[in-house]
Amino acid sequence: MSADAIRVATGRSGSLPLLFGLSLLSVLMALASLVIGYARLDIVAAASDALRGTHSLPALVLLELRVPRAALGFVAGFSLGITGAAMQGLLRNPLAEPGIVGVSGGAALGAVLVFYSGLAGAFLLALPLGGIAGAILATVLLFAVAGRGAGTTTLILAGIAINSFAGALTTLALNLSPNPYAAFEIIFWLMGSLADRSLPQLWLVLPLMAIGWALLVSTAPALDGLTLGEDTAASLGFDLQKLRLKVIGGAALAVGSAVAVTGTIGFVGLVVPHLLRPYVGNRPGRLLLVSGFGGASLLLGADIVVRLLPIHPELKLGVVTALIGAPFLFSLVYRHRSER
Amino acid sequence: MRIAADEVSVSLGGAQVLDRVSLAFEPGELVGLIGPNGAGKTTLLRVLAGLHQPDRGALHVDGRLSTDLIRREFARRIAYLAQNGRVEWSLRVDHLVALGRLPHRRLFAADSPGDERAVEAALHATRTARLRGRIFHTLSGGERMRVLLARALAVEAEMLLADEPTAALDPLHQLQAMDLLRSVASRGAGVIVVLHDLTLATRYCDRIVLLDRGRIVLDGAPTTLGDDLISEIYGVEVVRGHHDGAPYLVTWRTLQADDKEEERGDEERG
Repeated sequence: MSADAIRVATGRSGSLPLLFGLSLLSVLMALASLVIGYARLDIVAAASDALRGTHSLPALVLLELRVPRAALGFVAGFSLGITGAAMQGLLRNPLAEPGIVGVSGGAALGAVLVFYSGLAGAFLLALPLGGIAGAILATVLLFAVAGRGAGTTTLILAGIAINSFAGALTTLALNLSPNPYAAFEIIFWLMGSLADRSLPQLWLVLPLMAIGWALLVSTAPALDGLTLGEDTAASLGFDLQKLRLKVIGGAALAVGSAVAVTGTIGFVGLVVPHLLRPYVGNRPGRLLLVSGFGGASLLLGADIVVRLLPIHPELKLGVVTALIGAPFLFSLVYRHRSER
Repeated sequence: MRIAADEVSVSLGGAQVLDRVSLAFEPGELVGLIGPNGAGKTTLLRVLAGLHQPDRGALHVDGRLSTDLIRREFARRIAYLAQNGRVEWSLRVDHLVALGRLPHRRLFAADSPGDERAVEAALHATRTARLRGRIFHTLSGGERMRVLLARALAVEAEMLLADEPTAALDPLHQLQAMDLLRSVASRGAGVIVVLHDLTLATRYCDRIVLLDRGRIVLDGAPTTLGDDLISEIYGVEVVRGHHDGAPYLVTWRTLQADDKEEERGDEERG
């Protein structure tokens, strides 16, 4: 085997160790998220109580507080990371983020309307159901506005229009909110958090997210082909119309349901694919799963930081990811500038 | 394999770009598609590549309607090399060339030995094997074109459609590219290449198709391309000669340049 051939062989399997490493890291972060919290918890005792079905206090803390928080952090982070990677691949733009086509704006509006109407307290799943309905409506509206056979630019324009419309309606709901307490609740929810979520919410969104992930992962070869432009991708046998449907449908399911449960959490979907791209040789298809696990690790990590910081009331997760993400964008601009 | 355009018409934004074009292409043939800017060459090539559905008329592949063929089968049989091919992410050369194997690969299947062999063959044929570990965006214009050509060759299609593959190349690499297309044709694949350089087109191609304003003006051997026709269509005068027993032609000077420009002005479409 020549040196070249060896380099080619290791280069091609090069993203597997990264994928393995990041999936391991995300599992470790989820475990750390179980262990770290406000109350001291003997995790072993709590787990054995929970497994035996004893309703002890540690078991309740574990099952009702820690597990939903860690599990939702994992799946929401995974959704944001993989969708960000797919969006950047579809739009061939490193600045695309999961919500660019309007799904997270729609989900946020749906949840806010549930708050506004007072339904939030009526039953446990009202809020996520409202968010999911918002995301679906935004997606239907997107394709209705952009029309059949819409190109990428039309989709972005329609997405921006939907995002700003949803944003306007959200602020309208705040403006007209019946009492300051309701407005407060909406604002805090919009900041995004994993605190005080429950297992039924996880069971509601998990199947939807899983379908979304599967749709996104199935686009990997087409996203690779799209590296050569739309004409060449089509000449390689990919149906671009179907590709757009899959990516946007997958984004709506994955990110729409994430936002419906956690509120809006920015920057994870933008930053994670960007950081990991060089390690998969810039291949958009290889970036998908890697970004999913990277997103899960980052979100869980940020959520652990939130709990370790001696700041009260607890910082909202969306605030922390934005605080980490924005300087990253500045550094990106700086690097970009010096490359010219 | 035989592909045939049958009375194909296309209009874009209200302008008639192709007007009842009928043509057939055979394996083993190197066909030069020539014509002035805006003649409809690129559109015809896109129709042949299945990238643009004609408004009227049809495309047949081995007698079957192209729309009856499964997308992937079409992609395995017909390779397309776009004009000024852009690459959006900074891929490594060998990864980029391997994209040509996508029509052959199942979802998540690893590279088969056949894939690796095809990529190696394409790298060697285009003399880009030594560039395999380089990042595409660090290459020169000529190197980039050869790598993109290698990507198209890696498909191992029966028909190769190339849109101005020599446009960004220096004379040495232009001749090498044409030699390469020639050898692809002599190994049995059909090659249809859009060219602006009449010297290269008449020297290398088996057959010339001259388009003007969406219509076929000439379809025949390079020797049938007469001086009168060239001056009428292009508005230029050519000089002819013989070298090593082969005829050549060189475009020499403009004829009534201003009239020709004015006449064309309205017809241009970017």
